[in-house]
Amino acid sequence: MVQPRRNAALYFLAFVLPALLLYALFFLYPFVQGLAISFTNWDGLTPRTPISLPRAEFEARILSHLAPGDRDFLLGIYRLDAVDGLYKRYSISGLDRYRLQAVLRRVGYQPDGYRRVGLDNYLRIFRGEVEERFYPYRFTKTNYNEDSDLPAEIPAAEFDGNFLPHLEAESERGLALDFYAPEGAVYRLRRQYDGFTIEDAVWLLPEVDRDRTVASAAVDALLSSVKAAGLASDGAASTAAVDAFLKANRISAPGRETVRDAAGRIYRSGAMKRLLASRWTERRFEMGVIGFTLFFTFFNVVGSNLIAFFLALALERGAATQKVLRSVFFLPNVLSMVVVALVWSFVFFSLLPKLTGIPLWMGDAAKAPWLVVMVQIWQQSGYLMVIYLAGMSNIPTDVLEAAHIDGVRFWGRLRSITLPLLLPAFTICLFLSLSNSLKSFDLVYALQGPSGYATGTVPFVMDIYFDAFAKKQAGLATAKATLLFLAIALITGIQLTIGKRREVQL
Amino acid sequence: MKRVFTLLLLASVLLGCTQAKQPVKLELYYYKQEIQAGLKTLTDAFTKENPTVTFSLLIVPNDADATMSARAAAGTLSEILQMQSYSRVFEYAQKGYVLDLSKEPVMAKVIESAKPAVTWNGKQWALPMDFAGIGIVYNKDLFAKYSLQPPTTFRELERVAKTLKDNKITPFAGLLKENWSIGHFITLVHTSLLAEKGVSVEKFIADMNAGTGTYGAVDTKQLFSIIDFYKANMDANAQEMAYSEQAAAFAAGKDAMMVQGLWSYGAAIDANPKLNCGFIPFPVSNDPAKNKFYADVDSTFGLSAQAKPDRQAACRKFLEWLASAPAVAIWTRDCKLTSDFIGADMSALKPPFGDLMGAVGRNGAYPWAFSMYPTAAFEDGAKNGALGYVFKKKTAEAVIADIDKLWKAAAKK
Repeated sequence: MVQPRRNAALYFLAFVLPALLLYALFFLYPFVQGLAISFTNWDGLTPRTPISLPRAEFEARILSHLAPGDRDFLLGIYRLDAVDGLYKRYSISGLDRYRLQAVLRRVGYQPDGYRRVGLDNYLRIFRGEVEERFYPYRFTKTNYNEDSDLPAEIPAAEFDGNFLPHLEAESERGLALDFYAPEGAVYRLRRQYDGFTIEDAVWLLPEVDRDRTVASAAVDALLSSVKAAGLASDGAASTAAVDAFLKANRISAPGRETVRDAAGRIYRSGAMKRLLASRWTERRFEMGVIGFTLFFTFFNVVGSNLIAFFLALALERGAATQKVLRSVFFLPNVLSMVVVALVWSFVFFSLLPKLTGIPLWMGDAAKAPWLVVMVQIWQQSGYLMVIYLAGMSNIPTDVLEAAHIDGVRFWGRLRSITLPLLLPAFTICLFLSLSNSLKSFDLVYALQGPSGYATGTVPFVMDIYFDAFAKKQAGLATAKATLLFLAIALITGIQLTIGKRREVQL
Repeated sequence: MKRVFTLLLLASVLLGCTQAKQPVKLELYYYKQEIQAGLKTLTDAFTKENPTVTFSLLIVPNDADATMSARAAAGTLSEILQMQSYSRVFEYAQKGYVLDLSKEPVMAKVIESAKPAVTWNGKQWALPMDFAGIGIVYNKDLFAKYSLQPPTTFRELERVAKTLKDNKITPFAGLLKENWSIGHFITLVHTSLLAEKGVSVEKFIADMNAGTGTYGAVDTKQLFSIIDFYKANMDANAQEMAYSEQAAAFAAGKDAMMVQGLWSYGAAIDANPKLNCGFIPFPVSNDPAKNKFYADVDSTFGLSAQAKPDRQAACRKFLEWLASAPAVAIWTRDCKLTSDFIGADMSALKPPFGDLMGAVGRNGAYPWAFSMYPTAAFEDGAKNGALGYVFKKKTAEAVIADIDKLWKAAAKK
């Protein structure tokens, strides 16, 4: 049926035009404004039009350059406060806001925290000048800091796998095993080298602890000199420090022996500390913000689509139990991401450690990225499943039945009928999961907050958020957001084009 | 025509008059979620005395600053703003968002030592409200059970930790799932170590801002070995523990101490009202005299400079009233916070607050240096840096270098 012209015009006025207006207001306008901010050094706080300015600056930089009409307008907004010599304005709204911005632009006034910097933000991102953790990078993970006490125990897996193999000389292995003895699943520091106990012997000398004839500063100085000498393998310095201490302080004969013995053990620990600090290391690859976003996207797209598809396949026929199960699997999607995060936080903190005996889950940098992906898949699969189910219900049953009668087995039907006819569903599901994962934010924010940097699980959008609000770099953050927008548009655009082309080919 | 005009004029005059008497509703923006009920009592009491002034209370507990800066940029700041001391106040003052309160009579009622926290360019830009300290909240009953004395030196703290561990009690309730607590911790130790070197916080901050200082101005070996000590004496799953899990573990008597501000004492006592707590400075030094509370003005109230004059007047009246005896009584009793006003009666506060105020009175305190760091240097450099160190993602040198770099970039602006 051909619609009368008048009706088409009416529809346009009633539905399309308001939608276009809203689109312009809520998408195009903020987008253009965001684009403009990405070319500035805005700190997120500096007002574009100053709230107060010293009189001299206001008159010299702004007022003297103005045309009469603008001048009157400006003086209607700013008033001079005679007491503190500042021009001030109250909050303004509506068109006045824009007119004020335009007037200030005309005289070339830019606040220091809201200055146009051209492509600077973009160039910094492309030149690798923003934080190292934004890009994938390699670093050497040091498991022990030589200035601290020797760890009381080291997991055997670490000691055998990550430390002993890095020792070349037999003497080094001997030293390591002289300090640490295997005990079940750990290597334990032998008691005679326990830093606290060694030092406490000196601190508990009657002269130090009871009589207080020896100042605690002197003991501090002695211990730190011997530690430093041990780390530097400088035996002479150690002996000198002990001698100087014993000379300066009156200590009984057994006490002197205690000091010498403690100093000797602290000195010997130095070699072990150096060995641990320099060899208990590993070269690690860190995904960084970009890497994690891609990792998350890849596994989430693959995982949630696969699971959703097979769930749909299993629940396709729509028997009564299946209908219930459909709702069950869809349910996680009804929950807000914050609730999802709370539920899973409980699982990771309380439930899993009790069930498995493994204490660290989300707080373990090796597991965290996978757990985040898992929760996202858990939440999203049900939703994609519904789309696949809808796609499957559109497949004509007569075709399937005919194939069945012709003796085509399940896999054959799946490969030759179901999959090809489901292509439109695949296209839309891929699109949804791709764009959702690339711009994911709320799940990780609720699960981890900014601590995600320590576990390497910060997605792109959260990094933008952190830049804008914690680091006060709204300009840079907006530039990152613009780049992300372009990347999402490009990737999903390519995916949609390919998907549609294949659909047409069929 | 003339008649109509006169009528209109009359009407507008009348309208103007009624408007003057019209009640004002002030929006009060705050971030301290623990005072939700107390603040309501406080503002209600003010409204009772001044029926034309009512309040709408807007709470933003997490990421308070993100929301506030977004509202500032949109020109929709609330009239009364609860802000953290130092940097936050200075930032908003510098951008012209808050009113100069130097000449308000209420400022004269504030104790002198609280004023630096709100003083920028020689003027006061907010009203200091409470004094808070970070130190060790410890379980007195557990200490008594193992005949332990509250430690006054680092060596004694190590002994306490050892005894507790030998008795299968975790010394420190962990909090490594969020980065702010370990961020406080690194700056706390750093500030004590500055004192050990004889460098004042003001001098250190000035040097850093001038680009001539480094965060490594202290004994960094000691700084990081104390962080390692702290981590080594936490729960095995500290990396999974956030604020509430820390308070819960402490309240249950599973863990004997927590390095925290007294705000988490409130959370712990809610979970276990029988808890018997004390509060001591975290001893960094082996010289007891050098171990002071890390304590300073915490929250302040500022007034939006863009509020219309009649609203500003109502806001000023409210600030003035806050120093009055009934207001201080509500503040200490219902909000459970200390007060920054001269001669304030703080008898309503629980014992650990007495520990804090007593020790600060005797011994003085170290100021909250982190509040004076540039935002990026604290939020990213110190908080994420320290957490990265604990997670072995960063070396000690990298943490120092990053803080220096972020500080320089922020100071250059």
